[in-house]
Amino acid sequence: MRRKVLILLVAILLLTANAYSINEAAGAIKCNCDERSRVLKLTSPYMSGDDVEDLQLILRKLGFFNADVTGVFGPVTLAAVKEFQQWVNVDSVGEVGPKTQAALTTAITEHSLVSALLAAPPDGDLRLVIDVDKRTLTVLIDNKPYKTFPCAVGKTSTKSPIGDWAIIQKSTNWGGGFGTRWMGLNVPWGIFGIHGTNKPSSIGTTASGGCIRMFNRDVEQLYPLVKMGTRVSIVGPYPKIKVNQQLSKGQTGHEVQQVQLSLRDAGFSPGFTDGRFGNDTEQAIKQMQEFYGLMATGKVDFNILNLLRIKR
Amino acid sequence: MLRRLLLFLLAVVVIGTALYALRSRMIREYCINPQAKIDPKQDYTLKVWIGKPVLPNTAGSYVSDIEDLVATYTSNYTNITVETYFIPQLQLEAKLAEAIKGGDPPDIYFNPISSQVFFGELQVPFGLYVSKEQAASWLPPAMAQASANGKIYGYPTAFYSRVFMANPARLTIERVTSEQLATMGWTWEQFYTAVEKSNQPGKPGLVLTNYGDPVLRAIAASTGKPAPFDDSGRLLWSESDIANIAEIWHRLSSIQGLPALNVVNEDCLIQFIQGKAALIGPLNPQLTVWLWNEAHRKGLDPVLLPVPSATEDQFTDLSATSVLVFRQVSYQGHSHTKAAAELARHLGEGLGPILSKHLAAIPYGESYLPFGAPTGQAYSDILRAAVAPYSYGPAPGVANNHWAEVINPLWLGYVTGKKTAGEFTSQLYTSLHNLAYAQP
Repeated sequence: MRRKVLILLVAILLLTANAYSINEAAGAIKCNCDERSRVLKLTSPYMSGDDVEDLQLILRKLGFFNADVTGVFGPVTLAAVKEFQQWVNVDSVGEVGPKTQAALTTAITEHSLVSALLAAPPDGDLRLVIDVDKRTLTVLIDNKPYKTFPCAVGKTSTKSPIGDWAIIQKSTNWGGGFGTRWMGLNVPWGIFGIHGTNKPSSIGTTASGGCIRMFNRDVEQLYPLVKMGTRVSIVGPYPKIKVNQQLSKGQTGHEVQQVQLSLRDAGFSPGFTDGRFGNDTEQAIKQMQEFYGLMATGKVDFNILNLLRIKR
Repeated sequence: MLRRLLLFLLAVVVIGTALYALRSRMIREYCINPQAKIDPKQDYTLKVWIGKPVLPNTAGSYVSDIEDLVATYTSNYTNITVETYFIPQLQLEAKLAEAIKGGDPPDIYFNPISSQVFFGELQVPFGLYVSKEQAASWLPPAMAQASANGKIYGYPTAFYSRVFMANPARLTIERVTSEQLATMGWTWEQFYTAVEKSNQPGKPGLVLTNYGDPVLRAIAASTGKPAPFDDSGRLLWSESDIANIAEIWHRLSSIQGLPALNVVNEDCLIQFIQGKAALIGPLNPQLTVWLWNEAHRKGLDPVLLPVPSATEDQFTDLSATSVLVFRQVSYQGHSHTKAAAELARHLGEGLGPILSKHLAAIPYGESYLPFGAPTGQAYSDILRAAVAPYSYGPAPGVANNHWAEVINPLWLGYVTGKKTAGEFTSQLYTSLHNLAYAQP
């Protein structure tokens, strides 16, 4: 039902865009009563209506708009419009006029939005799991595999970061070796992400500097599904490192992540193994200290490092 | 006139008889008949709440072990359905309090790590189902810790031991060996002397794992009065008892050359494993097992020593846990309660080995000498536990909450130097006096 509605919306948009082009070409006088012909932009108060909602929907499907579709043209919509305009080389002014409308229509056609809508994933909690051993990226929806793509992972000397991360950056124009899409991860000790490639033959191998490399066509398919904050787990064998310093809340890095991984191995719940010493990790440390009858300080001291067997 | 009077008298008699009958019926409803039998033609559903403590890596098998134990009961009674709920330890007491308030507690309640046995009037005195012979066979500490207000409320399941671990190669003691101390026990005076004599530069005679609650509890248990109230709710700790507890800490922390005991010792485990520290403690069962294995792995030959005693009676620190039976406000009948009591007995007998496997507990009623003799005796000599309850107060969580919110902060204030011994003593004594709870 939802799919049908989306298809209908796209069809309406296409028809509207075409009709607009025809009218414009014929030099027809624009009818002010037709809300769909108005230029959409950031105003005070904000513009709102079905046309804004349609715009947000399309931008979202194209991967530029990650917020809720509200039908209100606010700063988030403005940013999405600008990003889209930059991508299609239209003057990046943030206003949706005839040129941008046409570009949207082209983008929809070129990117086969209709087919993308047909393949729209079911609603649910979406996260990505990258298996370093299998060199696959799997989209999970409510923890059930939805789609799996082949990928390349880090070389032995530059391994992909094992752990639980989140998407913190999305971009369409990194170019070069990063292909057509870039989705950055919040790894605290370097710049890692999921991206396309100009070396498609490397997919399925250990070839990258730690990033997750995908075919451009696959990463383009993945891009609209992924939102800022989408969780990404990179799983695989992790090199156990020894820790020789005490750690406490607020610290970040490899050693924190090692503690998190070891806590999880020991049966405690440190939250995401993302190398960030936050509340969940502190709570897990306290729980472990209480379990062993030690003072519950929440700090990783030498006793904890010994109990976890990661003391250098 | 006479007719009216007769009618009035008749009405009074009828109403009175009806009220009396109703009262008798109500009393019968709340009176438990332990002689009742489980009716094979009746269907029973028993609700069991079991606490699920933090069990790294073994939580799954803890649950399945208990489910298997329950299944051995239901296999004997096809008409009894047991619904077992595993409740996270942190939520257990709050949920019970809520259930009691609503008049609908579970039939069986088991907190695997708490000593509290009495939770108010909805609890079934389990002693009704214990024969005199059986009660007489229970060890006095087990009986004391399963009882409140002179009645048995729990079926003893297991004990938890708190001990110290010694490195005999480093511990200097006079006239006796570490092994002898393990079996005979020792006093705080012997403990201070041993620590003092074992103290060397860079090699402490003692490292503490904790200076908070476990130390206070260990010292209190060593006085023979682990809980501040007796099982009838009377204040057990006098001002001089509290002063005695404060004095033990004072003597301990005044030993010359010892590293400060009132700061977190971030490497106490390494100090012991590397053979530097002569003594480490207090150790709970989990840390005892870990450290024992680790010390052996590093080539040490450690010995477990009981918590020193503050009296000549050689009390050490061993707390029990018991299976409890409840009824609901809408009493489900004598045979239902009988079925619950039978299940409690079955669980009480079978849970000990499960707690031993997962929490290094000492299963009650079984010969259990972990770590080999004589160390095993120091760990599991139940007869050296105080013949006194470890918990107090009828409301769920009263003891834990009061201890955590009042007693422990006062203790921490004292050991960290923010309060004098005198202030700690008087303030704790006053707070205990102020703790009033309804007598059952």
